[in-house]
Amino acid sequence: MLEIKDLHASIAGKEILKGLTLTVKEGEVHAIMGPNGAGKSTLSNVLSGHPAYTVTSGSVTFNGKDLLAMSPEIRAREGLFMSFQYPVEIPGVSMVNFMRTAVNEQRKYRGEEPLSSSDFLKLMREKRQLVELDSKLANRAVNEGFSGGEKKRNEIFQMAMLNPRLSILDETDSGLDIDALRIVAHGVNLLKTPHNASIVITHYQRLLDYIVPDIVDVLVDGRIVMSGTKELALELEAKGYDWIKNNL
Amino acid sequence: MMEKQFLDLYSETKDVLNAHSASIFNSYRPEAESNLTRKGMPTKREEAYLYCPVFEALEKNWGVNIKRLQPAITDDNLFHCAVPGIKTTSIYFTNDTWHGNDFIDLGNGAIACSMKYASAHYGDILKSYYGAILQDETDGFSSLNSLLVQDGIFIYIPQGVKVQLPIQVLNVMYAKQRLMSIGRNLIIMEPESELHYIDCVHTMNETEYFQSRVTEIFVGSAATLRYCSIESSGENMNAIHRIAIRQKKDSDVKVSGFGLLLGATRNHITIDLDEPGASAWLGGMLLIDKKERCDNYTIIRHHACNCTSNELYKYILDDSAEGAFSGRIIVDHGAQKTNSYQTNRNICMSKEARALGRPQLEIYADDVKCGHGATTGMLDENALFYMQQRGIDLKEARLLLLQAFSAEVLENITLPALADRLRLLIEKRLHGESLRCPGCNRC
Repeated sequence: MLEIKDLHASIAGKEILKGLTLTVKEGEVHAIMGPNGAGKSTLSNVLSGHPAYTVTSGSVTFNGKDLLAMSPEIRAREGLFMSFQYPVEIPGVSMVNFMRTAVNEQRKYRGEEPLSSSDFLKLMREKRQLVELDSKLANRAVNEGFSGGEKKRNEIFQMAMLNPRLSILDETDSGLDIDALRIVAHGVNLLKTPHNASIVITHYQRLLDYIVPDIVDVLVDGRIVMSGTKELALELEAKGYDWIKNNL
Repeated sequence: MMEKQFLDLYSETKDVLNAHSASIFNSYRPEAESNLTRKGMPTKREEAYLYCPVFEALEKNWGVNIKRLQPAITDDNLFHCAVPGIKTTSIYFTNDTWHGNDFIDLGNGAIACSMKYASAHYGDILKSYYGAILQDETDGFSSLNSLLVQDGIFIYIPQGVKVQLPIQVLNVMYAKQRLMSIGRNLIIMEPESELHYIDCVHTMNETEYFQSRVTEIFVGSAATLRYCSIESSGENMNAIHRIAIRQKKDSDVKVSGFGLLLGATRNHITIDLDEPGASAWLGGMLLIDKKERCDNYTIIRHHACNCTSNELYKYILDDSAEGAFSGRIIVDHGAQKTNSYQTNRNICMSKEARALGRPQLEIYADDVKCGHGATTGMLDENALFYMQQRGIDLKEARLLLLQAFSAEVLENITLPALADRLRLLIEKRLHGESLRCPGCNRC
């Protein structure tokens, strides 16, 4: 589904990704772990097309298409979703209006009719319950005045609304207490099918107790240096990232 | 010597001018003449006129319709303007001439008529109020207005009368040759009265216009005024509108102004909170592009205690448009427990667009709550990317942000149908569409 080959990317002239290679197949859950500054967030930003990042070489194909040639919104419509580490507050834009626009633009891209108001609200209601998002939040402006946990739940709610092929969860566990973590992870697990895939980016093994990865990839200094099963995460947690660095 | 052509015009046509005028204006002309001769028109060197965009236009030669000739209206749709969902009492002006029957009975003793009609029938009331707010104002633009004005609107609302239908004034500029139109309006609201007033300004063709208007409004105790002006004219329009409002005890006023399409406009608005408990909201929006220029110059004076004032101006400026905002809030010695806040937020969509904000707070009382906030910037890049990541294209994302930016101002428009109409016009403007819409010929 996703093939990243020898990807080099920089921000403000500083190279962060230095030849990253990674393949994600349908139905897989990948956990990308790595120390601070390894390039985890850069990877998610580059994949979703953040304008501040420049790809200097390498390739990324998504469902057989050249991902890097697409604008951020086309990537989204092709089924790529990023759960932001720091979801943006957008005062004055209601969640309902925001989601309706997003859902219908994606439907239009696939050649489908826009959802009727009642169908849309039904969908909102249904997906909201998945992450136990208060109906009051759904009626407010996007992320405005949401607590840290609410913002993360709102990300997963949007993911449920848009039903992506590939979702990238960028440090979704940061700033979450255990209860919120469980709710968010539960939502992610419910959305899993044999046809979609997820990349879970995290510092800690903690999240992986709830979202069990098929493959753990270790990102150090802009490259995936090791991949393994979920036991690798436990080993990392016990031995620390220095253990990897020393082995390189 | 911008004033010369007007002083000459006056001395050459004095008799004709007076003969065709609302008589109330005639006795004030000699004083206006002497003020204008002595002080001249203001210049950009004066702080209050630093960003005033109409000076270039004043250098041109302007014709004035002294004989009050009515333009032949050939377009049936000229005045076809309606806000869907609300009925209004409409007043039509072609340039500075009242079109049609110039007396309207608003019910329960409330009336709207031309200044000419008022001079003949309501001379006593007129005399006691006319010029009372601006008596000390020797400003050149006001003097020019007093020197040449011939007609305008007079509205009187007796105590306790709530005028049911909003009044909608349609000012339509329609002439074959370069024209200066001059109007003077007076609105008197007795205690506990209520009025909704909508003022629309349009140009019908490409002729160059200069519109000079002065509106004085007296708001009695516990009276409620909602005043909304909408300009959707064109690059051929130059306008200066002086609005002066005085408020009595516990009165409640909201004044809003929307500049959607214009050439060069200056709105000079003053609100005097004379007695305790009065509250004023003053605000509006500019959505301008190309070379459009607008200056909202506002002064709110707190003379009494326990008054509230809020200002909210938001500009969206594209191309090389220029939007200026001056907000002066003066809190007098005795005006304790004043609550006043001023906000000015601007979005520049291009590098050439200019937003010029001047918040000025002068506080002479010690127990007050006053504040201001001013920001100018581009659209939030992070918010745009967030929306794009959900599949919304950049153009649509921008639109959503700009609509959100506008929403706060529209929340202060109390007639829901008018707020909806403005929302639609703003949306059309943001889409770059013509401002014509179903149910309305012009705005």
